[in-house]
Amino acid sequence: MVAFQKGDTEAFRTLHDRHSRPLLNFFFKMSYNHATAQDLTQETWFRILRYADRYKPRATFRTFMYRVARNLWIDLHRSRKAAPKSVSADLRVTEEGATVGDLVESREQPQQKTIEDREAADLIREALTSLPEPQRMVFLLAETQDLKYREIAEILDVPVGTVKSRMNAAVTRLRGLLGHVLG
Amino acid sequence: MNQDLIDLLRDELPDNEAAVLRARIEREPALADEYRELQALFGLVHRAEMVEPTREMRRCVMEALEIHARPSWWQEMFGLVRFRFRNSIGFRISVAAHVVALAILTFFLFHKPATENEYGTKLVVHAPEDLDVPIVNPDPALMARLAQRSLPKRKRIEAYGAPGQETAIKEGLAALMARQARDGSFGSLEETGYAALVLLAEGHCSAQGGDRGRRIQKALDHLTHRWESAGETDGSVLAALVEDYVLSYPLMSRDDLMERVRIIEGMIPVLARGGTGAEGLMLAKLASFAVPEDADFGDARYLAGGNRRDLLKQEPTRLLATAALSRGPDSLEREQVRAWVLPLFLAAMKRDSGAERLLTLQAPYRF
Repeated sequence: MVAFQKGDTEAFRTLHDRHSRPLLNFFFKMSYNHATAQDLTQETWFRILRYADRYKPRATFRTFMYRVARNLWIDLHRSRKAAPKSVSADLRVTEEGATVGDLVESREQPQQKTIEDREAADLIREALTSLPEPQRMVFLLAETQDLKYREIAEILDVPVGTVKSRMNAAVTRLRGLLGHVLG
Repeated sequence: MNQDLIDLLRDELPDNEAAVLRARIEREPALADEYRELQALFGLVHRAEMVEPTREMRRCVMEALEIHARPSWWQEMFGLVRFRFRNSIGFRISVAAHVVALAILTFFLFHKPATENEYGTKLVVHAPEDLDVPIVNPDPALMARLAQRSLPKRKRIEAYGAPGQETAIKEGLAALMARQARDGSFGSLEETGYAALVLLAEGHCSAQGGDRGRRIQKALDHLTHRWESAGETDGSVLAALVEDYVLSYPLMSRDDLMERVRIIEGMIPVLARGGTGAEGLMLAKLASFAVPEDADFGDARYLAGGNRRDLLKQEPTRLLATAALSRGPDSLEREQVRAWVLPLFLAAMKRDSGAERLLTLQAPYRF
């Protein structure tokens, strides 16, 4: 990132290729909406470009990136609260009679190898989406992005103790919801 | 859920605490079960569905990167100039020539040329300290250009002359001072007074500037004409009067200026009778007291006021003021006072000794 600040555009390409997938999956698991995840991922990179001069080397790039991502997520929620939009899933959109719900469902479900995998994926999705948002964000940053408590605390601008307690609450709830599949 | 187990699984525990906890897990089956559940849970979440970024997403971001990296027009211009400067000798020479030309232009724009008028260029010399410098072919025209009247009091003198004439001007100054010490005056009006007066006015006018300066100049021209018409030849008296009474007031309004000029004009006939040199100067100083229209001459302050404190210490002045107070009624016309007091003062000044002066003054006071 420091190299990019000095004008090395290749450095930015490297950063993008390295962190784009985890970032996309973070947004996907936060929203379980492919389009939203893609939009937010792109918008995160645009903002990183725009505000590159604000990056300070004392923090890691991942911390900087996820802080931008988190702010974007908050902005999204604010805008959704201000102007909630909804489309009926039963709205027919094709001549064949397919509904919005049919199309959305087909896009959001990546190919699963087995029926068992698909069921597990649905269960995990339901469990994650049932978590309160603060707990979900901490859990995803910790477990899917492999960030340390200290880094998560810096991203979310909360004390480390708060991160730990949210993590504990999330794990406890997930254990309760998924205990029967853990074997 | 045991937080320590979560921290252990996430490698967030210090090494010693982790070792202790692992030992406990090995010893305590319940703890071991809980730990295994946690491992399974995290493993399940890790294996959950993943999505891949599309090529379109990457293309959009790279496009934004190119736009971001594009230099602004001034950056491109600067880069071009820097490139040419580094690689072209001709360009470097051209830049250097432009810089030099700009420096020269700036110099002439801000450089203040020496003041010059019809008498020559303004020069600055130091007043000679030795009054006994002999007069060596004094050039009247040169001496006429000397601007300062009270020369002995000032170290730094501004005079007008041709460049390089500083030495000649110094000698001329010395000659003037010698003449004053010998004769009590600077010389005839034509030689010094008028020129000094004009240059005083000019110096003051240039300091004042603009419309005010022109008014002062016009007023002084008028006074000088009246002075000459009255037959007075020693311009130093009028010059002293003008300097003290007109030019020394920096914030003069038009009405104030005309009032002072009128007062001086009224005094010219009296001053003309007052002789030249020291007497005239003293008379001029006394006449320059500002006397308001509504002055009550029963109040000594009006006669004793003004800026001429040094004169108040002198005996004739004090006696005159006392005489004025003891003689007339409470209110007198200003012209009457001048016509009556000043001749007395003049007569007193012509006496040689203080005792005679005093006696002379006392006699008229008894009538």
